[in-house]
Amino acid sequence: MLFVFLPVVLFGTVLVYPLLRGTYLAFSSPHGESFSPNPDRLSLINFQFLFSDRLFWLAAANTFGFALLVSLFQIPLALILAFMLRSIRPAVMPFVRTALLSTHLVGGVFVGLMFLQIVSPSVRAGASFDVLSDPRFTLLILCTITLWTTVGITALHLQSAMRSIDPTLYDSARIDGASGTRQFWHVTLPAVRGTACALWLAGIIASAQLFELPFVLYGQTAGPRGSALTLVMYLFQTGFASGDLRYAAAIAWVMMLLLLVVSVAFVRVSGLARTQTN
Amino acid sequence: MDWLAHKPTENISLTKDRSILAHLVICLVCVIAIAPMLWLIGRADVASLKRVLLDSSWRDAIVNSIFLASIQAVVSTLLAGMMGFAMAKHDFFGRKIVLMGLVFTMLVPAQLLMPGAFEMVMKTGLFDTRLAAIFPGLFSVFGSLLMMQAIARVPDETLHAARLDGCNELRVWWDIVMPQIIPTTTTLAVLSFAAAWNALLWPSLILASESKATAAMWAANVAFNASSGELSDTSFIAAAVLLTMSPVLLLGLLHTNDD
Repeated sequence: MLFVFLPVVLFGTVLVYPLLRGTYLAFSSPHGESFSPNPDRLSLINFQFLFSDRLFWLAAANTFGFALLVSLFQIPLALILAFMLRSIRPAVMPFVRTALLSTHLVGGVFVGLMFLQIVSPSVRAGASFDVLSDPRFTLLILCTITLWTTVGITALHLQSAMRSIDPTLYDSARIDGASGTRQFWHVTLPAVRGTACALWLAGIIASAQLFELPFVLYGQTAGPRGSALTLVMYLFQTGFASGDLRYAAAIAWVMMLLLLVVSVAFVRVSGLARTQTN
Repeated sequence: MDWLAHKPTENISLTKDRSILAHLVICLVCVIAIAPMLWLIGRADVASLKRVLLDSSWRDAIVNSIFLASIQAVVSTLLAGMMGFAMAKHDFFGRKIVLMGLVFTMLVPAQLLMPGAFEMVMKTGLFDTRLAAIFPGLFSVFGSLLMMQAIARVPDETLHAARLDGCNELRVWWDIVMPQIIPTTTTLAVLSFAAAWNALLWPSLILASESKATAAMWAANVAFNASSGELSDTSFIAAAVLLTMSPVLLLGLLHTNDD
C-alpha cells in the first residue's frame, strides 16, 4: 500500500538508517578509512578516548549549565506572562501575539547575527571593552538571547492551555475571597501543570542542542577560553571539521544518553507521566 | 446561556490597577521583543539596502533558499499527511513498531543522525547536491505525529461514504481527509519552510559550491568576513541580515494573522 510504504521507506532512509549507522560508527575502531567498505571490528575505543577527553566534558558542562539556567527562567517567566495576557484587552491581542511570535520565527542564525551586530564593539563607537571576549559573560549572553527567542512562544502555548480552564473555577475562587495571586497559584497553575511540564522538558531538550547561536556569535570558534563550546559544536568540529565521523558519533551517543537520563529524571520528579494531558 | 452568565463577572474580576499593571508589563515585553529588529532597521540605511538587493550573490542565495524551502515544505507536509493518514485510519502490519519508532526518534537529538547521514551522502555521491541539502528535512517526525492527531479527529463516516462511492485510498486521502485538516496542514508547511530557511549546520556541510549556498549560509558568511576585518561596513551587514531573515518572518506573520 502506497500510503504506508512511501513514508515508512523515507522514515527508514532519513532517520532509522543514519541512527543505526551512527551507532555502529560509534562502536567501531578508528582504523582504516571512514568510508571504506571493509567491515571494522567493534570496539569501545571511541568511548574510552571520550571519557578522558577534557574538551568533551567542558562542552558537556557548558551545554547542561546553559540548559539548566535557561530552564530555570523560561517556564516561570512564560507562566507570569501568560497569566497577565488574560487581562489584556482583546483589541490589542493580535499585536501582542505578533510581537511575541516574531522572536520565535527568526532562526538561530539570524538571531545570532542580529545580536552580534548589537553587542560587537566595532558597532558601538568608543566601547572600552568587548563582552564577547570575556568568558564570564558567555553564559549570560547565550541565556538572555535564548530567553528572548523562547519566552514569547512558550507564553502563547501556556495561554492557549489557560483558555481551556473552566471559568467557574475562577468565580468560586473569587467568591471565596482569593486574590489574583492566589488564583494564579491555586487555579491556574494546577490546571496547566501538565502543559507546563511538557514545555519545560521540550525546552531542556532544545537548549541541550544549542549550536547556531554561539557558532555565529563567536565567529565559528569555541568562544573565550572555550566558554561557548557546546556538545553539538564539539561534535561538528570533530566530525566534520576534523573528519572523524566515528568520534562524532560517539559524542552524539553519549549526548543522547545524558539527555535521556535528564529526561527520565525530569519525568519522574515532575510526575509528567501521571498528569492528565488533553 | 452559561457563557452569558460568565462574561460580566470576568470583567469585574479585573480590578483596574491589576489590569493597568498587566498592560504595562505586556507592553514592555512587546517592546523588548521587537527592539532588536527595530535596532537592525535603524542601522540599515537605504543605500546599503539597495546594495544588498543589487548583490547578485544575495539574489542567488535567496532563490536557492526559496527553492529548497518550498520543496521541503511541500514534500514533508504531504508525506506527513500520508503517514498521519496511515497511522490514524489504517491498521497495517508493524503499525505499533512504526509508532514507537516515531516517538523514540522525537527524543533523539538531530545531531545523532548526522554522522550516519553524512556518510550515506558521501557514499551515494550526493555530496554538494541540493537533494542532499534538504533530504533530512523531507520526512518530519513531529509533522507525522501532528497530522496523525489531526486526522484522528476526522470522522470515519466521511471516509466510509467516500469508499462506498468508489473512491480509492489516494482519493479518500486527497479529497476527503486533507481538506478537513487545512489549518494543521498550512501550519506544518509554514513551520517546515521556516526550518529549512533557518537551517545552517546541515546545508553548510553538504553544499560546498558557492553558487548553491542558502540564504542563511550567505548571511553567516557576510558576518564572518566582517568579524575577520575584511569588511566592516556595519550598515551593509545590518541590511543583509534584515533582508535575509525577513521573508520567513513575513510568511509566519501572514499565516498567524489569517486564523
